[in-house]
Amino acid sequence: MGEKTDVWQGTLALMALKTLETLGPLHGYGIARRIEQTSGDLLSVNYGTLYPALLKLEQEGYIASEWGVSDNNRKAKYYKLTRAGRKQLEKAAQDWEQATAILARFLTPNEESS
Amino acid sequence: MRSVRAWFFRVAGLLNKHRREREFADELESHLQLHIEDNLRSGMTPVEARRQALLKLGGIEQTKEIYRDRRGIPLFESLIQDVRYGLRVLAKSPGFTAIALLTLALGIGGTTAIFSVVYGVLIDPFPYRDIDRLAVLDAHNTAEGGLNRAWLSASEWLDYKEQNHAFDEVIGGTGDDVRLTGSGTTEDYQGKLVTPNTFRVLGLLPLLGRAFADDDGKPGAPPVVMLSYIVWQSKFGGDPGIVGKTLILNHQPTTVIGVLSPRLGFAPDSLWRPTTISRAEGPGHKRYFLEGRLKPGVSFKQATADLAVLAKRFATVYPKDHPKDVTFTVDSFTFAFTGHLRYTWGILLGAVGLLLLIACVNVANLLLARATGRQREFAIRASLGASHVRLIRQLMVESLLLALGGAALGCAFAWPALFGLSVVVPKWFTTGGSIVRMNAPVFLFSLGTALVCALLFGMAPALRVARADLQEPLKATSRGAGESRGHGRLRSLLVVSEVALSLVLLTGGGLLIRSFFALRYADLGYNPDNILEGEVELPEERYKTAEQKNQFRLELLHRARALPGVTSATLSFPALVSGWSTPIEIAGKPSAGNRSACIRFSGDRFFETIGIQLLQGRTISEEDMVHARKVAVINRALATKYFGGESPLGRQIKLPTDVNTDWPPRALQQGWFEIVGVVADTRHSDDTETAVPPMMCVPYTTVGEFPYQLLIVRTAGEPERLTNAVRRTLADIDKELSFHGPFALRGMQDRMWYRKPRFVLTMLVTFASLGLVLVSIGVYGVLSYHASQRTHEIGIRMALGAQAAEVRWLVLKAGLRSLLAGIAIGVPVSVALARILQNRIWGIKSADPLTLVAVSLVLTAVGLVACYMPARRATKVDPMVALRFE
Repeated sequence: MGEKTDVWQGTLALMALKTLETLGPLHGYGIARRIEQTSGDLLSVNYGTLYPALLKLEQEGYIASEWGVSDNNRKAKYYKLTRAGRKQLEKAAQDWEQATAILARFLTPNEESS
Repeated sequence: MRSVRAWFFRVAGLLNKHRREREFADELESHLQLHIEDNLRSGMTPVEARRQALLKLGGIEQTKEIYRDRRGIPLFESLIQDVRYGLRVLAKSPGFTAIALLTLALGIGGTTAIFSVVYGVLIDPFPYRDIDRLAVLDAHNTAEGGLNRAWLSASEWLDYKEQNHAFDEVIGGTGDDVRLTGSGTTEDYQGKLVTPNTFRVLGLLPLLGRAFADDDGKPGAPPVVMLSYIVWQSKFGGDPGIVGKTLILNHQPTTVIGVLSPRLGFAPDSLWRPTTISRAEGPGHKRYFLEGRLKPGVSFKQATADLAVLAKRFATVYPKDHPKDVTFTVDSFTFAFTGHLRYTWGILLGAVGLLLLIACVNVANLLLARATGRQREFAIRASLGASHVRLIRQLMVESLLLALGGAALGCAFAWPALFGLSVVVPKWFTTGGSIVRMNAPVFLFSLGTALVCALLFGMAPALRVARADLQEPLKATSRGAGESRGHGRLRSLLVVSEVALSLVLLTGGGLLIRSFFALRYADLGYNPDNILEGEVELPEERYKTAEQKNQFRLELLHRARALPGVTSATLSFPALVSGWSTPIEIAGKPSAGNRSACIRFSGDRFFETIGIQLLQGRTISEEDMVHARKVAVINRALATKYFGGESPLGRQIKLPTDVNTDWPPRALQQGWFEIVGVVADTRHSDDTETAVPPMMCVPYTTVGEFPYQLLIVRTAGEPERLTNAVRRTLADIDKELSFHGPFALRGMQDRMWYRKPRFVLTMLVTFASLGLVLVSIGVYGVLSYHASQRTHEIGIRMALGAQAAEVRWLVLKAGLRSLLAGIAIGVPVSVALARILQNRIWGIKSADPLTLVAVSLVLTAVGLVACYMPARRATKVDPMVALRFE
């Protein structure tokens, strides 16, 4: 565990929030699959690392969880976005866009020279 | 905000672990099932489907682990684990734990007890409001050898009060003797006349009744008095209805308006009356103290500067009352009343601190020995993935547990120790009304001490682990390879430092013992053994004239000298321990210059009875007494001071009466006293530093008016046994006379003079002895361990034919080396530190070779005894057993 994790966990949390916004209540496996699919194989993730991120979001009150039944009749824990989570997603997405925009501008000349 | 919420859940996550654990296991299980089903659908075999799902998850246990870290507070949880494990480890070796706890309890408990006194007496002695701003005005007269002249005249007091810019409010007052009459008895009390605002400024509420109101001090106001707690208890039996009663004080009916709190810090046995300080009083009478509360933000230094400006101005206005060489300082109230105690308690706190240090070294040594035994344990934990940091933390947690346990036990010890201390501490070493007890600051101090101790003694084993190659012990095949060379050196170093510390303590104790004996058996100039003293007061109504009084005295001496068991008797005013300082004139010398002497009036055989050596001439004879001859016997100090090389015999002295004080009695100023003899100097107090004052003694018949006298009797045996015989003799002459407050001179000196040094001595010797016990335990422990580590080697040596004596020497040598090294270091340290004691020792130098040699020998002897036991045990080793001993 190091600084890498912090960035990773932050990104992961944002992706999880976005997934829940798009797809509605979903279990951990579903979120993991969705993230993997959306990011292409770029993020071939260890599904396990998602769970601490989900726990953190729940502790912070951005998501809530309850046990439910899946499409194929399996018991699973479902996560859903809370009102605070929706707000947080909006804010985090904005921050992220801003950060990437700045970084993109910053990094572009470098790419040209290489 | 969000993170606070998260932390709340994480703390909650520490609870109900099992349920949460199960829930997450369920969640992971359902995750896997969902994944496996997907995989099956994409055509994998069931085995492959499960394998892929697990692979993708990254392992069930690993996931659980990272999940747990997020759920709770990992650092805290592992700390709890460390504590639990530490407690289990300590419980597993009760012998070690008990010794370590007791050792620490001794050190921490002792330190806590002494600190309780320091806190109660020095740090927070007074219950007054704004104590940090309370100040006293101190005057120093640089011309009179720097003596304090803290007293002000009424007009000076008022000038300072009105013109200063430093004080919020000022209080003042003076001493005042009070005679309580009525109900058939007459009693004299110390009194204080103070400005009515005094207790309001101090913020001291009365226990009963009310404090003075401003009007109480005005001239013509009905007289009122406040009783101190002690007077209320002793004279009035704590009568709750005392307020409102009327007492006759100085022949004036006075109403009791209140009783003061028992925590009144000064003059605890006085009667307090209000007064108004007025300019009507003459300027010569300098008798008022000035204290007050500084304005917020004014420092003592600024206040001193402010008053210095005033003093300079007053010096030009009244040059007579403000001589140039009087300077004023404003000091903190607390410091003014407790500053003189700091030295003594500082020494005691330092000494007990050394004891605590020895205790720490001892425990460090025990821990090191254990750490060696636990090498395998650490190696196994390390190979299971514990980092150095984790292991060091484990050790520190164990040290902390020991220290906290020691502190708890120490506080339990300190409790009874404080009761003991309150009995043995002479009252001169405390402040009136101070409360010494275990309170929150004391417990905090104790806790702090424990933490520092844990750091001190926990460092050695922790450092060792930090440096060690943790895998090494697993490779070693036998315990014989146990202790590394460096490790042994660290332990020897600890013993050496322990011995050195103990030597410092012992030296302190030794110096005080030597000094005490020098003080106790110093030549006082007289012989205090077998002397009985007591006062006799003649009622003025029946003994009106000097004739009548002298008649009685003659009779008393005659009968007392005839008593069996009495070898000699005489009368004297005042007691041996004091004298009245009086200006004198010497015939043939210019009267200019302040000549003074302490004057005593005595009967014949005074010097013979007390045992003062006659140096020149003769003493006062019976004829001198009968004819009231104006003769004087002077001491050597007077002879040297005022006559130098000349012979004082036959010279004449006059005692002029001071018109202001009417002293000495006018009868004395007519005519000259002829010096007939010179006697040796005598010391009359426990003060060993100031020079003996000039003294002179004249026949009491030259005055004859005093109603008081001191009867001094030299006895053949125990002086106190004759008390009743003397009482009967007095009653035979006059039934109504009593022998007041009789005491044996030697006993009084032991109680009064030697109690202070004896107390400091007892405490220091106690600490030194405890230190010695700890050191011997330490030496014993280390050497036993040393010997047991070498069992293998000793076995081989003995198998090869080594004699018991050689083996004994082998072990003994190691101990002796540490002892001698410790002494070699301890001696110079002691010499350096003993200088602190310089003010407390008398008759010897602080670098006293005899003391150093003696304590070194004691330490060596005790150390050798501690070494001998393990050395002897080593010779009992059976070579065969030792060689098999793996």
